Amino acid sequence: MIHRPTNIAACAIQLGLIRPDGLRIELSEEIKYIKENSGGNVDLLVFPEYHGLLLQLLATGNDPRTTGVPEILDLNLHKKMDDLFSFYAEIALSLKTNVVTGSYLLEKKDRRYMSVGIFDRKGNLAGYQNKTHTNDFDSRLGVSRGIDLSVIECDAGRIGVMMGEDRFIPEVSRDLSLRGTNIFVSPCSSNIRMNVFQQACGLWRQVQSEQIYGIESYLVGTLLNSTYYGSSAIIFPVEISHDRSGFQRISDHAGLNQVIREELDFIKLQGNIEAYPIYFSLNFDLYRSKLMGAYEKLEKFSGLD
Amino acid sequence: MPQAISSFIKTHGSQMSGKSPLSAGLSYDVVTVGAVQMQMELVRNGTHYAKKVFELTRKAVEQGSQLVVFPEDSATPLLGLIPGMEKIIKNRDISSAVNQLAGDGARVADIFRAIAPAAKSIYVTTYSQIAKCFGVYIIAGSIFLPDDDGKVYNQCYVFGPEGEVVGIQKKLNLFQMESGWGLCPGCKHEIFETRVGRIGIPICMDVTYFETCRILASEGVELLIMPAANPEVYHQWEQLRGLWARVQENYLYGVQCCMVGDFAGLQLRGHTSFYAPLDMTDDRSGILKTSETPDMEEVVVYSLDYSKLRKLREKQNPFAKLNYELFRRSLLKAYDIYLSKSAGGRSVL
Repeated sequence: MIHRPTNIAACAIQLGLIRPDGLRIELSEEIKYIKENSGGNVDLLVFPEYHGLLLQLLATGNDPRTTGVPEILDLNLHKKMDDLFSFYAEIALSLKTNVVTGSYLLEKKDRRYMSVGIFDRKGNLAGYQNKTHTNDFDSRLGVSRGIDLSVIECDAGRIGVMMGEDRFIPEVSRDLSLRGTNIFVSPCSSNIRMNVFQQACGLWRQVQSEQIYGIESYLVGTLLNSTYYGSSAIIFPVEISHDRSGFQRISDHAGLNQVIREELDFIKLQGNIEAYPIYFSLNFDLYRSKLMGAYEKLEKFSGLD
Repeated sequence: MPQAISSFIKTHGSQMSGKSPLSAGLSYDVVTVGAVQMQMELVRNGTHYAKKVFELTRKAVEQGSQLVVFPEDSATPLLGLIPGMEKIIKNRDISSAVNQLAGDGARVADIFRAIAPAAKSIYVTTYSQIAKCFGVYIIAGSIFLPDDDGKVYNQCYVFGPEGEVVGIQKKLNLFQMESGWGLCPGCKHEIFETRVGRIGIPICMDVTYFETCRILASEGVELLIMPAANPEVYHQWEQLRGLWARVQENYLYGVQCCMVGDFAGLQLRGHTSFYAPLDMTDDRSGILKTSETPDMEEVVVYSLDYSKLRKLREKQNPFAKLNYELFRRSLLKAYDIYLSKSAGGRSVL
């Protein structure tokens, strides 16, 4: 049984690996940057979407700003795992923290997935999650959708990973939360400059629905001829956030490198659930009997049957 | 009592032009909805109630409304029919008031069961006659009524322009307080096929759960009407996590209609609002219109264009990229896992 503290410090790493001049940021520089900006003694670090893919691409010596998708397909990035895992394990060990990786290409049983792993403080891989709702970019990389969800345990908490588009899907958050997640993490990215309402359609909405903590970490900078923006955030249920917006901490350097830090108090979280027991009122019997039929109809409506 | 109500409506209704907003010329694509942000206050009798509802409906219809919506607990003012109720409830919460009236152990549901014959008669006569008088659809907020099984449900009636009952929706997910009052949850999502749209009615707490609106969306609903009575101080982001969130998930229109006022120790607050998918609003907020205050009575009117919604959904089908295989494999298993482990309550520690 993993012993967990009732309070942890968590950070969202808003980062691109490429400097504006196109040169990569060295691992030692990255560790230094995180150490200097995370406030010390961090229990959980969350990297952004495609951060792992960037590492895999850099291992081939190609320029990730300008390499195109067709060229990537020839590079077998899903086989470039050693450098990738060493990088995150090194961060976990030197900062003595749990690390949620950026997403990377993984091959399993002849299928390719976009995956996120969690490394514990000893640098061991505690578990991984495959992306379940892929986008056009993922599809062009030959990525298949994951069809399982799992809660990954570490001493910071019971982690549910919703990377990228997964964060917009309420079924994913409900599933993970019912299985015992107490922190959602979302390595994510955005090609557009979102306003707060657009951002609220993602992880914010799921945090409010399930009453647990959420950490979203945005990729910034240029990757494969696309530019990424975003304001990383640490999200609370509105009742226990300082201004009742739910955005407990949010980047004030949208689109630039930044580390966002916040303390997560699980006793406070539990108190909120007991004050507003949402699952008490959830009509499980009704939804059990109706949901699958609803999905059949929606598939038909979408021409997917 | 029904006769007095009908007589009142006939007298005052005769002053209207007699032309229903649903007459020839209605474009099914564009519908004007009037949402009544109603003040909770006890009424003395049925005619007093009908007068209030009549005036509010008139305000909505004068601004072109073809569908008029009332909030949750719209019939609770009928507790005023009980002699002395106003005095009893003045400095008490509703459960204490019920105990004062009917003794320890009595629950709110028992009181509504007792007044049900009169309350139902007034509620149905009022909204039916007013709908017919103005020639509009009315979603009549909600009333606590017993069904044939003797259980008391939070029920919303829908009336058509001929005064007919189009259908009834029961609240499906009860607030913890409501369960304590002795109410029971419903077990069916009704679909209201009307000349003003294909409508689903999630009542207040029902929008907390994505499942409700996903099921309604699968039935072809294009408009969600949410009668609400929220017993909390208003905060914008607290409100947005309900109907607004469900609208964004399913690309539908949504109308949240709020009961407001101070009543039985509860502060009922909320901004009656019209919502749409983000891309249909100029500022990408998803908010089309909202009431001026969260605590005063007013009527909010807005026209919804279904053709614009359909165009957006053709361009961006929100259901096309859902991972149905995942949901089938995993979601109900997750329900089972939770239910098997949650006997002592939910823990995030």
